[in-house]
Amino acid sequence: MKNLKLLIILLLGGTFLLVSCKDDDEQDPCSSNFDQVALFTNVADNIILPSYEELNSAVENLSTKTQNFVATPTENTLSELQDAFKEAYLSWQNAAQFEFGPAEDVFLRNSLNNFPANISQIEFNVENEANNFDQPDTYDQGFPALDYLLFGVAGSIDLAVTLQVYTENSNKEKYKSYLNAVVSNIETKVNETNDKWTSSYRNSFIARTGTAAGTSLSQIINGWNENYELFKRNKIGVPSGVLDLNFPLPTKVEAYYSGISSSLAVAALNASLRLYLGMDGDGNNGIGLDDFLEEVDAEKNGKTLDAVIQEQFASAINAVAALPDPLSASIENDETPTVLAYNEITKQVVNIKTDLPSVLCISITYVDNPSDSD
Amino acid sequence: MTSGFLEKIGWRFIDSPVGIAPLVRFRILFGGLMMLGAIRFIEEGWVEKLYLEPRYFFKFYWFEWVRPFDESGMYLLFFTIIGSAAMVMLGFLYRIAIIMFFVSFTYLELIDATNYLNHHYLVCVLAFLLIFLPANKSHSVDVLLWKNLKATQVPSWTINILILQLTIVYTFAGIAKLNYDWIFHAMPLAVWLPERQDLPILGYFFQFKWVAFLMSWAGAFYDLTIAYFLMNTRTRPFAYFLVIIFHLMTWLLFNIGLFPWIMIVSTLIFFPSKSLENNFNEKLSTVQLTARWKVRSIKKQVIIPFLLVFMLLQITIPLRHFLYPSNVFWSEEGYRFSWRVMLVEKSGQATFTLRDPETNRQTEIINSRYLTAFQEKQMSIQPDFILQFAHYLEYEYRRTHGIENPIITVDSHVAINGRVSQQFIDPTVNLAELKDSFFPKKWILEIKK
Repeated sequence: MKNLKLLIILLLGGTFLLVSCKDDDEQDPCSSNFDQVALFTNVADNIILPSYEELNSAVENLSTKTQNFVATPTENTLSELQDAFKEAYLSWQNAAQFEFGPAEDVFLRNSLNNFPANISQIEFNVENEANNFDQPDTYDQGFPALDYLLFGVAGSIDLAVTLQVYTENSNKEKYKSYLNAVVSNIETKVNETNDKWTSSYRNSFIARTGTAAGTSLSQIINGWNENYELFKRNKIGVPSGVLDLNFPLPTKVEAYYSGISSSLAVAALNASLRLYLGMDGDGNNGIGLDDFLEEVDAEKNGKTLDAVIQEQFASAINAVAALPDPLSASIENDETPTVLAYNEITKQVVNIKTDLPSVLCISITYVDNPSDSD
Repeated sequence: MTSGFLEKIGWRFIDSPVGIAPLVRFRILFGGLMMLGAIRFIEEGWVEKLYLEPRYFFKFYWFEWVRPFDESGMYLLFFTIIGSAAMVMLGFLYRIAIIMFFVSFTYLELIDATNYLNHHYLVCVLAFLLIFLPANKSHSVDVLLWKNLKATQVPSWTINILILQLTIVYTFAGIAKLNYDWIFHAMPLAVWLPERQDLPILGYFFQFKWVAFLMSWAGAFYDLTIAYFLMNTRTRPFAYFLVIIFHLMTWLLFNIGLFPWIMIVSTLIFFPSKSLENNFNEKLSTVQLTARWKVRSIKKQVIIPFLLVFMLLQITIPLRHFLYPSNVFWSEEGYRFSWRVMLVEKSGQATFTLRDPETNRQTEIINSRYLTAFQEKQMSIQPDFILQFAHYLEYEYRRTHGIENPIITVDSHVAINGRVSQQFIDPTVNLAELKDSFFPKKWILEIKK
């Protein structure tokens, strides 16, 4: 027994000797208590709900203009429809970052904005009147399909030439009916999402506090990050060629046929910044993730993390805004500015995906462990 | 030190006959638990997720030759594990069964280092030890078949070696907790506990920082001392009660699968059968001891020294990080196989760039084209995985693009325990030219405080 006791004493003594790496430390991590309900209320009432509401009315307008056009296809109704399309596509950029809850239920993002569109699939669908979209992962639906049907279907952006497809082409009725089907699918999905948010989801969203997976905070941060990365990769990265050995792929831009890629990208980036700041569409700055960061007093490279993030947003927005539309033509001409914009966008990822969750002490469940941990 | 002393120790801890009950109990519970664990693994769909979906698998150093099987092969491996675990439980062809279990389970663990878990390693170690232990000499099918196999007593080392192994696990888990963040910042529990505020009653307390501190300190104290309290006859019942409470807590709080049950079941080995107590009190003269100790057998000459070396390795392996100049939490050099359990909250990202020096064309890599989300997450914080993945990219681009000598760099950032991230790997170094080894990885940047 004595030997055993000696052993214990030795082991215990030894272990305390091993206490190491003491340092005169910075701020205590995870020490703040921020008001999550205030954040959720602001984000829901001033950002998410208005975004969906705006998207919903834009999509309803799109639907009306589509019916007008299909009933009387003229250059005038086509032009109005094109405008309605652009408006709806722009307002989608604000709503794309909330792919959880109601949006996730209907696969909103994939249903509305899988791009680049698969043209041969669309033409096949038209020919065979395959007008149902029950698979969310196809590339023959949503805004990219409309982009093609309204701007590229005749191989020219020219209004009169496009119009002929709906007035003179032997398949004109089939084109009209496919156009209708695409729009009504968008409308159904957006309606459903908007309805769920306004009827019940808003309240449960605000109530779901905490930092675990599935709480509103993790949904906001995950949705925000996921959308940012998709933006980076699909809107800028792929077409610029940085992901494919510097072979630019200009036809893979978002909105290739209508040529509004840059405007959409700027809108998306601004939406991302506004969600971070907690800012509504009119520029009123409410409680956002930036306020949380200020409270924990996190520093990076001698600046506050908040300042780092805001500055990086500014650089990224500047760089993207400098890319003239149509982006595909800019890239064909010289991809360098797009690559530079990509680099600015990329620098932000570590700030918002790794640093922000870390200092807010949210172990991000961006990726669920498929198995146990220890 | 006299030889009499050594002989007494030898007799006491190695040779003295003790009741077989703890060993038999251990065999039955361990086999049963492993069987259920493997069934659960299949039911959760993890065979598909972890072994059939990935197109690339991270390797353990020295075990690069381990390959996954196809679907039927993987299921066959799992059925082997389940079947052999059941045979171990029943004590049917025990020696063959436990070897089959050890080999199949260890092979499974070696397929993808992404899935490394301390408690899976513990299972490998315990199974390895069980190969040498006469755990089938009572309450087993083997005894029904071969009557003369039956024994009521076994030499004490066969039980003590398991006690020693568990003591090593707890003690090193405790030592690992004696780090600055754990003790003075209650990290990472300060991140993890608030996530469980939805738990009834207990959850309420998790919002308070002092609870994280209390649990950090209590956890460290528990790990450091519990094995010794379990050894002591008087404190043993209460200590075992604490074992149950502690591991049920971890089971409740964390997604750690079988670990709590393994520990709750394994620590029963500390409870001797009544006859052990009697033998402890057996007074033998030095002459008698020497006589018994001098009885030579193959066991004493080969197996016991071999297991002694094994146990020495068990003690030195967790200490190997001292040979590396880096911070073990940051660089993970010497992190695995060291009972560093639930110790750090870490996240990161790694963006690879591959350049063809001949054409000067370069490409950023989309990791998700090659890795599952879980693999990518694990890769971004473990340097050896980062290197392995770079080599895989080299292979892939040679195969698909004919690029002969690509230059592969990584822009990687890792955040630890609630801090902002820092650059992890030297972004200028060409990973394609590096080889993994046990030597310090100089291309891991130092952590700045």
